[in-house]
Amino acid sequence: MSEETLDLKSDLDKLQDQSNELLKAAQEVVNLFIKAIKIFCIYPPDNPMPKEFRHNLFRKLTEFLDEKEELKLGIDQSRLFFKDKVILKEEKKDEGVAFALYRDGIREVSFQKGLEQEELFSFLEAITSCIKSSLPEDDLVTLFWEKDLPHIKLSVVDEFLSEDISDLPQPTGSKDLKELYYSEIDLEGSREREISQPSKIQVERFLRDLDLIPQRELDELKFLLEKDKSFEPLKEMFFILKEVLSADSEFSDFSETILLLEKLLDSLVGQGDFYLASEVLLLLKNLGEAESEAGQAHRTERIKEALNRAGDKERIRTLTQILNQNPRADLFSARKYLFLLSRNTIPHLVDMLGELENFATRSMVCTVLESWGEKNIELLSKGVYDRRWYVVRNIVGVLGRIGSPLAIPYLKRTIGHEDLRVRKQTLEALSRIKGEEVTSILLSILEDPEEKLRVRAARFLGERPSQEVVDYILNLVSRKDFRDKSPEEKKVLLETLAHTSKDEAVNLFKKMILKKTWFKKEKQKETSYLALKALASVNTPSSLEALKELSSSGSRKTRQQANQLLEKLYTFQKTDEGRSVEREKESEI
Amino acid sequence: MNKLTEQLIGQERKQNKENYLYLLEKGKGLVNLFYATIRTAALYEPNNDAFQKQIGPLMLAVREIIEHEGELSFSSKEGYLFLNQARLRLDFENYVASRFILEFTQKLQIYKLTIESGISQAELQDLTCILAHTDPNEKEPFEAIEKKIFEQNLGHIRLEKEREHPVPEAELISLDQRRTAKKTFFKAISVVREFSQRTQSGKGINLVKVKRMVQSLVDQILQNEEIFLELSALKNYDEYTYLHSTNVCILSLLLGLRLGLSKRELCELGLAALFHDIGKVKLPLELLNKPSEFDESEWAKMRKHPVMGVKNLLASLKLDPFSIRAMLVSFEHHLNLDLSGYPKLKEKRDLNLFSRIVSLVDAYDAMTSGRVYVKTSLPPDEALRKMFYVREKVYDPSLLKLFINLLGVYPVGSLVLLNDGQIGLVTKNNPENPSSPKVKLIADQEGTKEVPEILDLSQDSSSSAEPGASRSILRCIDPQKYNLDLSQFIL
Repeated sequence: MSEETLDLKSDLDKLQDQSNELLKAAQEVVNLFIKAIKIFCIYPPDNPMPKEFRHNLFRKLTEFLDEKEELKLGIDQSRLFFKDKVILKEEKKDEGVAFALYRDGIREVSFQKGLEQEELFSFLEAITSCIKSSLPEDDLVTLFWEKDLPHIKLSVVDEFLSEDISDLPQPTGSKDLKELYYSEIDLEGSREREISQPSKIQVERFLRDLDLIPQRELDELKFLLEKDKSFEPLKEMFFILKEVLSADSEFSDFSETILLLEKLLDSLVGQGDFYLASEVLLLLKNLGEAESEAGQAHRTERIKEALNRAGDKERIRTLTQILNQNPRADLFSARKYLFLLSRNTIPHLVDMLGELENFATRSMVCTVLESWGEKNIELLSKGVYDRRWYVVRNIVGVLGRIGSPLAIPYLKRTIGHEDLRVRKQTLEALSRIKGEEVTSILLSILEDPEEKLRVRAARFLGERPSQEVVDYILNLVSRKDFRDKSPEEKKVLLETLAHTSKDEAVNLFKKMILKKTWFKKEKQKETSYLALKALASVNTPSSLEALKELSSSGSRKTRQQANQLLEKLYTFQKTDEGRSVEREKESEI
Repeated sequence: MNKLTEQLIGQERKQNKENYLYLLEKGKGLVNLFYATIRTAALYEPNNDAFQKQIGPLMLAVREIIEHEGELSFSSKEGYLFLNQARLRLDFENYVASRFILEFTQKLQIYKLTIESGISQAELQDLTCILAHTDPNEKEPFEAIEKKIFEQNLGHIRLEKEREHPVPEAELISLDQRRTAKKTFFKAISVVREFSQRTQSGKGINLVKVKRMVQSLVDQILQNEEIFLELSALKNYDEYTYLHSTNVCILSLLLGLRLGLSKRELCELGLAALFHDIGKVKLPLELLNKPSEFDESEWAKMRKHPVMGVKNLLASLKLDPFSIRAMLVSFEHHLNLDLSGYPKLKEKRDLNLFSRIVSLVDAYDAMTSGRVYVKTSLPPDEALRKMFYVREKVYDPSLLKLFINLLGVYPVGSLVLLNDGQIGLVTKNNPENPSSPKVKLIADQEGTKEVPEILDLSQDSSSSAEPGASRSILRCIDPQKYNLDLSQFIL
């Protein structure tokens, strides 16, 4: 290889190195840029983390710009380019920074030397708000344009600028100044007539009036401008809509406007803007009330129709889809929207429960159903016939929170549901409803194949003392198979019996404690001990008497356990008495 | 870069920005004070109370800025006034004063006037008197002022002269700017046509596209108002409605700019203005183009268009602050200040600022176009006068005044007949003397002038009409009456 070739190669290598270095530097800045945006999306702006990232990015970027004057980045749907080389590739095609810029027509961003900190921060803020929000305030080009960023240049695809203007309207006139001249200036002495025209005087008077704008008028202008700063779009929109509807004297015009509002609602729900949608719905509701008060039956009916449609199957389905697609949806406003719908929507909301994919949205719908349910138990309870167990469970939950006895027939059905989760929820629901009918159902649950459910039912029964409960449990614990139940179930059943029956079960407990058996001795011992504890918990003179008797029983174990329990009871009583005395003294003082 | 350097650069940038904002804020008051003092100095002796009342506050303002900045200078560049390094923003509070100072210093050939630290009130007083009493028409006004400053030993004042061969005013607006402005103007018309047709056929409007167009208009108007004032004088297009909406948009933006609205607000105003007549798109063309007066049933249809506008926008746009503002303006633009007009309101309230702007601009353009409500067009000056005399009831009086200040009594693009028999096209108004604008002389008894001459009526002393008298405007002429295509001169 000749010396010249070697030199050339070394120059090329140098150039290549420089180019690689530049690419690396640009890549570093871009990586920091992307990280900063991600951090902004996660942390609140006053958190030290985004602040630090922002400052680091500014430092790196200005270092780059001070040296290279410009950082120009090409953009496509998911990539950022520097000098035609990809320096960032986003994981998903329709998410992230590149996509946010690309979507709004931005194909190139150039950061230029002299970039101010404020400019960069405004730029980052705009991108973050666009990525973060499902309903960005505006498109990015507009946001950047409004922020006036002199050192950040954008290259935007603007269809309208590239259009051909050949088909633009053409002037219709023709240039005929001579005709004009001779018509206006009559050469035979009309000039004087022209000069003496009153317009001359008018102009002077007019000018006198015009003069400069006095302070009073300047203040008025300032006031107008100031007032406009508090322009509330929503309030204004409602004002216009009310006026438009009142200007619609013909019913057909009125109906047309309502139809537009319905379409608007559709589009708002479709965009996931539940806040505006609920405001529009509220407006319709208020308008309906006003029309009804004014005795406008036709118009009232038309609004009612619109309100009903707002919650029809199709619209609720759209709403469901939007909620499923957007995990960051504004659930507060979505709930407000649902609250404003008519009660006819209940079946669709029940259906919605089956389609919603996350807990928060289902819980939101349940809240709505709960608030409506009391007066619409029948309508709501139809949900228990749904084929999907989770819908049934949600409806049972709602019925439980409402706590109306009207739901009992439906809960009776779901307590036999094949899915344990539904049965559990039903049990919880039943526990919130008062009445003997519920007690009977709870007793029937004591026969459920699922032990956990039986235990829970027994606990609930403890809070509902009645002869029916006593009789049922007395019978249950007297059965031969009682001994084979789990310690937990036996314990709860015996406690419930002690609590509800008082003295009636004392003899049974004694019998159970003293029972001797040749088989399953351990099980018997367990039952005996649990019965002893239940006896102690009865805490009546006759139960204490029985306990004392057992403390001198022939069985050493029984004796010991009875004594321990008695001791506990005495200590408890003493402490209790002591507390009572202290309380009395305190009250005397 | 080490941390210290970085910190220093950061601090310097911050300081620059703070200084800039400081100058913008102080500049407004200073310009008004300077203007008032020079005007007073022209009328009164320095020992007169009226003058003393002006010079004191001016001195305070000058001293405050010098203390903050080290020195104070006024300079002009490409038609803008600079206070030190900050380009002052013109709005309704300082527009007249700024324009005055700009033109005044230009006439006196002063490019930059610097006041240094240590200036006394007496020096400032002498300076304002020298400026006020120098005749701009004398041979070398700059040298005359410089001489007086030297003679009176005003050591804290420095002047820099305007370059030797100032660029002719007509050339100041570069061809490029004009071409871009023209293109944007026609694009605006085509965008209006497009969204009108889409609305007519029940399709949605691409708001982003319209917004970008308005943003482009705002950017260019911010660079040069005058080209757009000229363009808005075009009236005679077949597609009047589209042209009208474009003109209303441009004039509204110009008025909004004068009010000091922000870019976002200007964009919102521009959109609202562009959409203000969208309620007409479904009205039959025969009605809109009817050459004779409307009968009662036709009026009833016409009166529905503000409400129809709201409905059309509701059907075609996504709901956001921009579209809501557009709906409001569409609804209110035929309501008068006293709430007469149409549609009749159920609930009384004040008209929105943007509706007030669009309402008066719309009326002006309609009157001077003579197509829909007024079947024969009025000359611009007459239209403005007509509007001015009903201002208390119909238009916002302060806004209307501002609008007339913006347009001049003879708005740019007006065809005028001079007292020497020549015909001219107004090319630039003169805020100091609104009845004496600059005109491009385009015709005389020979017909078209091959090379149109530019005449500043406020400076004209050689009359070809009456010896010893200066040329002035007799009245406006209606170009449509002669089927005259003004675009040949404007574009």
